[in-house]
Amino acid sequence: MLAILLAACTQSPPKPPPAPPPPAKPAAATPAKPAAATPTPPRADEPRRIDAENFARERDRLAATLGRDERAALADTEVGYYMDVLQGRLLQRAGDRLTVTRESDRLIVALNGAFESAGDRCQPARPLGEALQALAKVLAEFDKTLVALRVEADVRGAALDPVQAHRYAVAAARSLEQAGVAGRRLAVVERGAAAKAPASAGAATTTAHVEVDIDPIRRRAGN
Amino acid sequence: MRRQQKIVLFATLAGVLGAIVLFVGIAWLLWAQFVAAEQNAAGGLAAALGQATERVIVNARDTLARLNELTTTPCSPEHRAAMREAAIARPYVRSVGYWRAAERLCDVGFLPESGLKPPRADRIYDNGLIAWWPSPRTESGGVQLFLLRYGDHDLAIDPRQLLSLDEWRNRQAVLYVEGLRMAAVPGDVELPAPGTLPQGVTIDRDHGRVLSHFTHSELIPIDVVAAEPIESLVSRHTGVLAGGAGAALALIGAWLFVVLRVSRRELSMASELRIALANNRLSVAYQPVIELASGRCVGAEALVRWTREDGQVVSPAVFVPVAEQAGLIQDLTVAVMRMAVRDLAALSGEFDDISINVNLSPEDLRNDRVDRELHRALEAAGLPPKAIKLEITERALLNTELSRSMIRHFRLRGHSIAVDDFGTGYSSLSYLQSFELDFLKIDKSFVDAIGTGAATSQVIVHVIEMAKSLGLDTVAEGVETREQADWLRARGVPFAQGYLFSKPLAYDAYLEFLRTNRRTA
Repeated sequence: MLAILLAACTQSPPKPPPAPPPPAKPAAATPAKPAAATPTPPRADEPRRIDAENFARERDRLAATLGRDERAALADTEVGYYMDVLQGRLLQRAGDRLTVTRESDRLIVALNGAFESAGDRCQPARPLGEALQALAKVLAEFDKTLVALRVEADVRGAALDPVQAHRYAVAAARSLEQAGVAGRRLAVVERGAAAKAPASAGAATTTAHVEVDIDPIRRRAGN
Repeated sequence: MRRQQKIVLFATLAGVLGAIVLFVGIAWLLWAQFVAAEQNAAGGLAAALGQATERVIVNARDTLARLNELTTTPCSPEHRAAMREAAIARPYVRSVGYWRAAERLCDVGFLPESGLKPPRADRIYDNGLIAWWPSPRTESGGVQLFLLRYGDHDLAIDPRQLLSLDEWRNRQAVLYVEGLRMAAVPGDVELPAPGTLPQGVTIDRDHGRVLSHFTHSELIPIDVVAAEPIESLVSRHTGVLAGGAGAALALIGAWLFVVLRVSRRELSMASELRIALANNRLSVAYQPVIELASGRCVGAEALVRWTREDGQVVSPAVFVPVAEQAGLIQDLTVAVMRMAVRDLAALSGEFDDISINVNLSPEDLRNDRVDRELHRALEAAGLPPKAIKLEITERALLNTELSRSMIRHFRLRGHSIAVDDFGTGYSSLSYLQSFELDFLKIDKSFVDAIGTGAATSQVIVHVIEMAKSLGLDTVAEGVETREQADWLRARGVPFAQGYLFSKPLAYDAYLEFLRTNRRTA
């Protein structure tokens, strides 16, 4: 027990929160946007995509959309407590398999692991799959969050082929969804036209760096 | 500045400075004792509080871990019973809650049903333990609670239970855990933060209080900052203070006593005489000795003189007894002897038949110091021993065989020995016979009686006759009139001295006297 407490002595006090984002405008009042700034509609079997170039705006827009559902969203006064507890739970449940970084009300979870590709199929190899399972279990409980997955580099930091990277991100998102995280909360960050490129047909195993951005879904003003 | 004034000034300064040093020293010792006592008391209590707080936090975290491991259905009677048991067993626990994410599903204790959801945790540990330090956002029922959440359960802890000051009445205290304020007595007290205070006890003069800061950090850094009015500290140490004050008074009194004693000694005539001797401030006057038959000056008696720095002349009748009492008489004899030899050496070129009489005290006959010094001085001056005649009093004759042998020794060297003030003591004829002497000096009291018809006027006749019978020459002292001189000459007294011939003279005057005497005699 003391060992746990001793481990606790290396603390990570949360950073002070920035000014809260302006409340999203009601959906009805939102004018139509150019295609590049609108989250790309997912294919039937794929999670929602967010263009990396406009990541922050698209993420906020998506979160705002989800925030229309009052029961699935947090009041501003609840956000801090919610994200603190979520951070604690992530550290408790999967602390040794992933790293958790706090940026204001955002949590960034980083995992390293291999993806196995064969033909059209791509899935996380077992250790990464287990880590994603553990992450999914927590995210399923803390369901008032938007989860954006990003795979851009391998574990050494070398940039991955954008098409492969996108496939890995989608595979990771699917893994979370299958473990109980609602698909509507999941998004995959893609770089430009990468998703439109044909998938590699060769079999391969690549160790990639997966980054998961977890943002609170705030209740929209006026809801 | 006169010596006496210097001594008084020095004694005053020494007394005052010494008293101040003693006072400050004892005050410092007392303060050191206060501080040591406070260090022990406050440090011990802080350590106890730190250990207790540490135990509470560790126990709370373990309790949460055990509750998380329960396999009972959440919020079932069994689950609630386990939570209740955990709360009851720990007096510091206000509430135990079970949560799903941020929703409190069930609880035991004294918190609102929805629980407390402070917007920002103070600590999120790597193992997932989350802590909210007491603040207005954790307040419930008028108490700012310390919240711990681990997994699905949380504990609300009453921090007042962590800071018991039963032993610290009249004190204010704040308990810090990991540098954050955990509890305070009284609850709203504001004391300096631990980071601004050194470890141990310090005085906060601006606020008239004693601050103590102690850190306990075996597992968790815990600081206790306490404040107490200075008066309270002093009142708790009244016994020590009284003892210290008594000791201070005793020591200061002893110091002043010593200073007084030393200054009195330094102010004494003996001390002054010692300094005068050391600085050669004594002088010699010469009382001429006249051969009555011819009127010729044959020598002089060296008489010591002391003039103080301020010009005050001290009578030999005053300072010679002081020198005898203070053990300075031999120094005095030697000083006179050296001056006499020096002056005699100067005279010898012009008057080679002159002798000087030097008085010895009884003490001078107890050892050979005077003999050695006299011998050395005469040798250095190239003078024969007969140039110095030695006068001893009757009292000296009363002393032991040592005196007798010293007299014999002086005579063997070549000095003549005279018995001074003869007739005033108790010397009998037979007693005088046992000594080897050369002169009898007839005391002035007998000379004064000459021609007066007084009873004592006949005594001098017997003295003169006695001297003759012993084969001793005589010298009459204190001759002041021609009649006295004539009478003495008629009775066969060969030598005389007194104001009739001359008062005691300084060297230069004596030299002139000699020259005049030799021209006319």
